Amino acid sequence: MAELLLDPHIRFWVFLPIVVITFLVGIVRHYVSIILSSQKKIELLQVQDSQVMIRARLLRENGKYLPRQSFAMRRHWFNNEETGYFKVQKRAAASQNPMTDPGMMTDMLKGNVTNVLPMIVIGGWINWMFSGFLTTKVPFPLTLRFKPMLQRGVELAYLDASWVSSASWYFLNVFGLRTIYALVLGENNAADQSKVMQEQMSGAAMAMPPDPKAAFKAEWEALEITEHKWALSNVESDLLSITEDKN
Amino acid sequence: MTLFDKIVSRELTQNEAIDLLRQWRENNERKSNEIAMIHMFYDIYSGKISANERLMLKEQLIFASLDVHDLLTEFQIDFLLQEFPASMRVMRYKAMVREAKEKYDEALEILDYIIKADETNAPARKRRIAIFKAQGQITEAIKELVDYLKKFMSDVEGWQQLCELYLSVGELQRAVFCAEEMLLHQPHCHFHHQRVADIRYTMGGVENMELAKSYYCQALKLNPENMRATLGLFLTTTNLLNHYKSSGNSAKRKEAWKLSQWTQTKAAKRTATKKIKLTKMLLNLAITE
Amino acid sequence: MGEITFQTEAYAKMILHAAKYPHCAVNGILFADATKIKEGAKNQELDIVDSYPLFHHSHYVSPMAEVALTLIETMAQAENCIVAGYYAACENFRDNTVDKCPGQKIAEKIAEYFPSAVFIVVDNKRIIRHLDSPAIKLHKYSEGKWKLKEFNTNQLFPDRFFLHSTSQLLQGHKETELVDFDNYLDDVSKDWNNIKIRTYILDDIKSEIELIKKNKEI
Repeated sequence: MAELLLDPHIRFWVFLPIVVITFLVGIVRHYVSIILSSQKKIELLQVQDSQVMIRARLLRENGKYLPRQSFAMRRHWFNNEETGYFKVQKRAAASQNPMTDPGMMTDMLKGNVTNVLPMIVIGGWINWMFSGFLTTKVPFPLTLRFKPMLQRGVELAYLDASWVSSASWYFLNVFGLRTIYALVLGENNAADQSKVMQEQMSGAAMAMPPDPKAAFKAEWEALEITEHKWALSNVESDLLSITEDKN
Repeated sequence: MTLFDKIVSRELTQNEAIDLLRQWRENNERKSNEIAMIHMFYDIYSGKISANERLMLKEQLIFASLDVHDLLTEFQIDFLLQEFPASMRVMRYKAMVREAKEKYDEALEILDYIIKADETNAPARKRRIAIFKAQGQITEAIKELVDYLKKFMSDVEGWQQLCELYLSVGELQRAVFCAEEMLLHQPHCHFHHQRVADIRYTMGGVENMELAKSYYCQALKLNPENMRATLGLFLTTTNLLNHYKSSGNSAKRKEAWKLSQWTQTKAAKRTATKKIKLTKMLLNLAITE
Repeated sequence: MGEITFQTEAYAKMILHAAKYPHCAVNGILFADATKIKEGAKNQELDIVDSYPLFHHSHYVSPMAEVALTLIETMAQAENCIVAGYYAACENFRDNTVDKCPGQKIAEKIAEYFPSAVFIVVDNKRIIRHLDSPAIKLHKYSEGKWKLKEFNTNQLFPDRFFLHSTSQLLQGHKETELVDFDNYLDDVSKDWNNIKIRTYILDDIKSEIELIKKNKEI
């Protein structure tokens, strides 16, 4: 279809403002979330469990530097049927249900308020304010499947899929400005939308995943199948050959 | 010129001083005299430092001052307490001041309060162990430390301290267990391998000697400049040769002999120009075929 | 009979070693002049001329101790001295008895070969930069135990400037220049004989003598 020419005013009054708005809102969100964030209280048992998991992993990875007996002794401490840590320690399966856990409830609420709410509000406002505009064109051709994604609010069947409407441009910005945030605010900033989404999906707390039982079982299995291969069996000949090579 | 002379004569610039302090902080070095002196002669806080670093410098100074028994640092701590009223960390400093004044009961009271308020506070627990050690109650200290390590079993510093405590009371078997723990956490550190080897050598017996030999070799593989490992390897091979002579295990004997020769040449090379002749000494110790 | 004398160099190195590592236990060997030793005599007269600082860590593992002792034997023969004593300072500030010191086995070994050996315990509490007392305790081996022996400072230390010289070294923070066996193992280019310290002491004695001469002239 014929080349569309955009009014140059769009550049100043739509394109750039959307970028600026998204960016500033992101920064504001970052500082607000810092103010609102509460110290998550960690239980001693959680710390203990996470340290035990680290030690078990290290035993699997570096146990080859220990003599067979030392390795076996430690594995026995972890895995033994009657006395092993992974068998004996009983942990209540932490409920994932936010209704019963008030701490998790408030966390979810805060997460929603700081992240999802502004996105919806501003997205809606942009849609209302800048409706009916074509903001920009992506420099490469796209298939028709991208039309609904890139052309929110603009229902034109004929329109090339490369054109982007203002609402879609806003959403593109939200995700695209991630790296800019990393530069400006440093790593691990709260304005990073995608990270938040990722966290919600994996659900892993800092100390331990809410279900230590499953983690213990997994670690137990991993330890059971680990074979002890004494890493220092040939170290003497290795050492002599290294120096012989040098000489 | 010693570092002290440099500080007094102001040959050291302020930036160099800040760098030194940072380096000591990162390497966890106990240079308390030097730190106290630097703060005496330089106004460190006027230098180019971030707000975060300012607090770390203050903490470093507090520890150093207590170490050199400069108890005026209590005023510094009170200022910090005004800045951070509910801080457990500052409370821990107060406990340390009591510790420095040898008012151990008061110090333990404060630490117990911190631990009750936050069970996961590891530094407060470690301070308790330090107090027992200072009072000479080594068995108590060991007990507390074992308890601590049951909860925080990936704390390498804790394992190191426990290893030293066991060594000081002669429990070599348990000390080697701790040294192995450190090895698990940092398997590429030549010093840990050498330490395990040292303890095994001290324990004695053929099996331990052979393990010591392997660990010394590994330490040398990781760091060929480790003099202690070289000499230790020489001692173990000499020891083993003695044993193999009588047991007639010729393959092992050959290997041990080769290693022994190798260590001698290595040690000789490194000390060839020095007055103290290690070679002569080694010959004294060596077994001739 | 049984007179012990301590030369300044031996004493100073001992104190400097303890001052260099105030948070560690330290130990070392004492050399006595071999020419004054009479063969087979019990309760020898000892002139302790030098000290060799050994360790400030790893006291309870033996390999480096064995190396050090063999080396010391060779060196003693070369310098016409004998291994006549052992010194130690405890890690804990308040400990100043023989049983709290590290390296008891080394001391016993020395006593085995030389029954008149001495065991010096450095008294941590009395070490200050302006020494007013020798800050040591002397022990001799008898009946399988190290027994505390009283001593007269002027008799034990023939050099009247010994406290002054050592204090000067401490005030100048010269303990940082002392090299013990651990330092030597870490870097074999360092001088375990600590010639520098000897020069400092000699310089100090010289200047003291000159000062006294000047005062006499006035």
